[in-house]
Amino acid sequence: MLFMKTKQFLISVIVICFSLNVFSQIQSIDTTLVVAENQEAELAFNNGNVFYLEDNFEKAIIEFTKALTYNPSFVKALINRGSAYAKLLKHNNAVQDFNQALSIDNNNNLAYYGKGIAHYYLSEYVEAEISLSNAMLNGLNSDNVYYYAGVVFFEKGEYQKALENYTLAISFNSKNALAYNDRGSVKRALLDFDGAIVDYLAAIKIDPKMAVAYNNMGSAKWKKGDKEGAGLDYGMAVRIKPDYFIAYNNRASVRFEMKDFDGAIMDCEKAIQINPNYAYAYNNMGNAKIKLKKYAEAEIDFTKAININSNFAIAYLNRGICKERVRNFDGAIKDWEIANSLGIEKAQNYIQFYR
Amino acid sequence: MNYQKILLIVLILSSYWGNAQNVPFSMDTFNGDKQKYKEAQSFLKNAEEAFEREYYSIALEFYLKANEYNQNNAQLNYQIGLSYLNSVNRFLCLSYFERAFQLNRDIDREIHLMLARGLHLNMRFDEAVNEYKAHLGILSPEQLRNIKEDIEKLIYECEVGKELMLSDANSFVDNMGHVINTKYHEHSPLISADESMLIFTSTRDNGRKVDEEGHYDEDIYISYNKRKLWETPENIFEPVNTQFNDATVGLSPDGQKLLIYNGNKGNGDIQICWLNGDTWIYPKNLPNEINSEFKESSACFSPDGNKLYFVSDRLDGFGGSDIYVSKKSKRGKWQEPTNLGNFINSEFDEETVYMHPDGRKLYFSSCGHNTMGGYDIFVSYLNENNQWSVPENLGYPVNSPDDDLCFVISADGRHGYFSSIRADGYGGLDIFRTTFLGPEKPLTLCNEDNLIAVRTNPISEQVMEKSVELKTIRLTIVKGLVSDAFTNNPVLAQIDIVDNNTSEVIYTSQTNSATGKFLVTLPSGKNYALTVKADDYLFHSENFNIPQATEYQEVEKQIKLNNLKKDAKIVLNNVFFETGSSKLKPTSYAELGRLTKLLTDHSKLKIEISGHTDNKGAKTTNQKLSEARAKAVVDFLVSEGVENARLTFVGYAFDQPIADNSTEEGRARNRRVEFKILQN
Repeated sequence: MLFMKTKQFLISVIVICFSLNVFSQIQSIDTTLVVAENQEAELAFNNGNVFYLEDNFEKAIIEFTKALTYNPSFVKALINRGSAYAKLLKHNNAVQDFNQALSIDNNNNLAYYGKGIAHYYLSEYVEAEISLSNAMLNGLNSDNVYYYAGVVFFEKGEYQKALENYTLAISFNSKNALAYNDRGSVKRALLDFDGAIVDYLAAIKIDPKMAVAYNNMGSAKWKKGDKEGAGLDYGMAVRIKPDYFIAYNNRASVRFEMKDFDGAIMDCEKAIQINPNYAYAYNNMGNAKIKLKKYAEAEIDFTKAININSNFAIAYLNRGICKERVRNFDGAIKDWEIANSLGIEKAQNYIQFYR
Repeated sequence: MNYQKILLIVLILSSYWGNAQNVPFSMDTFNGDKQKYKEAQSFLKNAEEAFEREYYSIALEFYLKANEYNQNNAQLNYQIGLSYLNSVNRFLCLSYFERAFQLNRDIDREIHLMLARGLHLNMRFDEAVNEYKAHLGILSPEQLRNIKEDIEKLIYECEVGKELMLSDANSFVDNMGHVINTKYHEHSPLISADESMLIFTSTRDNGRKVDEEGHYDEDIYISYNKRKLWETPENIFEPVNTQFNDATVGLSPDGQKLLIYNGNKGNGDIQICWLNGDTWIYPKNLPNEINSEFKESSACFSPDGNKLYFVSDRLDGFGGSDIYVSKKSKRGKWQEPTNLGNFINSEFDEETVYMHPDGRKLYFSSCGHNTMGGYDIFVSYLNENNQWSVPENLGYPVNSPDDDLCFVISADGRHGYFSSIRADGYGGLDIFRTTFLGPEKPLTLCNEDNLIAVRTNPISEQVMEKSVELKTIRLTIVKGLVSDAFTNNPVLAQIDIVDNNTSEVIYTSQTNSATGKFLVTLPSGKNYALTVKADDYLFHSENFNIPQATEYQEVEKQIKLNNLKKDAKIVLNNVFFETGSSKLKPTSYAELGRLTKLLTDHSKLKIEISGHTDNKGAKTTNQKLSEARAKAVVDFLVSEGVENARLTFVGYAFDQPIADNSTEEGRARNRRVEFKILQN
């Protein structure tokens, strides 16, 4: 309170000096300079927005929090702080703020929207679906609200609903490359590979630098049996995004299937160089080395994959096969037992052969 | 490359040519040592004689002795290669052919073919294909017609070999060891269903040499597996073994009936003998339905004993030896055999047939189908409609580019036994055991995609409420003093506050005429130009970009106004460009308007517009940018009606700093556009 009074006093002094025209020969006075009342909450809120727009979300949160200490029912501050929390991936805090905002204003579509997105990132798909639906019911009609609804349905495996929502998102904004990409992924899940490729291409047409769409298109082509086309698409993905280790790993797998084992190893090495903890790449590199009969090296790769992820059942399964190739039958059986305990049923058949 | 370097390379290469020179078997080679020369000549002579008579193993023995005296004779190396290629350990030919070729590239017209054979047998398939093609390339049209098909088959075998080598090895192959194998031939293994008994054929020393090469005739031996170890094999003697070649052919699943091959009967016939207790009863020829005037070399019973599969080179086949089957009539008589058909029998030889105890899998060797070289072992499946499937190559490592024959398999399918010649052999054909690892275990790849784009490409929208309108606004107070730059006397000047976003003058004030002092207040949240104008002076401008959140602040400015005279200059503080570009921002228009008005009011003024940068980046880039920005200002003025002749533009890059380039603030000041009066 003392601070507030001091500030008010200072501003008042300035205005008085201004009015007295001590220094200058003022011809007109801007009346907006008159400080009439205390609006510290609003000031803090606006300051928060400035920081938010500068992507300085930590400082934005401080300002929004300041605004809320002045006015705990300041819905806009709650929404914006929730949104800033979401930007910092603190989705639980975000949900709390959005819920608080909705407890004050039950029809606030922005609060529902933000809450829906935060629930999505918390993998709480049912809550996300409800919130996004409420956002729509309360008048929020944008491509992104339908896009997120599509995403949530996709995650829930409700592909038909996902398809409908992505299509609505596209109808609201025909330049929404993400919606095209995701709709392609839905079609892929529905085994409509040609349809998927058409959508991925549409996404790429809108955003030629969309490496993800190239990667996904590669996978759709791979599933269609077009390994060569898949390899080229993965190649485009890594050309656009040189640190795209997932695409390198995917191209490694296509090369593996095309029996280009040296090429597969090179791609796995690249993926690992970018992401040294990418267990999948170690696993796939091990497979390629088995094919090249480099069993000792392959076993090391599988072990690295397992060290990264001790529950990596497939790496255990493959390491068992690798050990079998060098007649380490006991070692193979132990690995298959672990793979089996981690859920791979066929490992039991492998073990059975030796009993 | 200069002459000396070329000469050096030639000298180095010539030293290799020198090493690779063909060394003849002459007295000079032996440095006059007549004794050694005579010994070498003698070995060569003996070798040649044996070679002529096609006693290759004997020839090889003498050639190798001669080779100890001179390893650099191309012809001798070539002969050793040929001898190996025509004897048992054929794969050993390669190094001698390679050496012969190294010593004399024209050693023989067929050297590329021989190299190809050696490479093929050593599983160097790509190189073998190249050599086969090289051989084809030097043939006359007639020679090509005669041999092309054969060479193309060999090339195909290499392609098959490459593919089989790449496919998963789902088995191991082990030599049966020195207890079973010797330096002589061991082949045609037969195994009891429980793998406790092994009957096989060997040419090991039985005291009866049969040819000039010192080979012994074939006898049948038996070994038992006790506690996972094979016991020393024993000759099963008469009446099964005779003074002629006696070889194992087939064993009934119950181990009570033994089929043997007797090379002394007809052109080679199959006989059967029964086990009575622990004694084999005198062999009996199979009837004429089976044994013909042609060669019958291999046979096996079906599990129920009612069918006999056998190999014969009789004339009604598909080419070479074929596999036939004969069924036993209700009276127990073997009926007229039928050819198993062209799914099983190729235009090349089929050999050594074996029916698995399940009666559905037929194993046999063939030089046709997709062999990787010589005889490979295949399996064909009999379906429910009694049709044979397309034979499958058992693949590497069971098969090799040389002959792989006489395959039998245990009842549980875990182990196969067969004959082959391998680098880890004990000499001649050996018996190997393969361990099958069960059904193929596919390797599992792990992949993922970014199916949902927002996971990797976050949407950059702001889910936020807009700022609220405030009744109180934060202030920036600018106070200062305006004076004459030359006399320092206070100047009565007009002060305009311009909102750069709208180019509107939102506030006008004057300095105190006595003190030159002024004070203006700037509410936060806008980009302002503060301009100071006085009669007969150049105007002065300052820029204040005050974000909404800016708290109360005071700024003091000492402004020196210059007279309108030559060389006077000012910084246009309210001219803005797009980042890294010479494109003017709309917020510049107010300032440029003032400049236009100045030039309009003073029609004799000629000015220079100069662009300046900070010292970040390359000089050439900054030079271009500073010049382009100056030109953009001039272009604007021209577009507003100012005569081009009154305007010049120049870029100084970072040659004329007005502040310290080591601080961000200083660099910001250095990035500027100035104008200077050239003439008034």
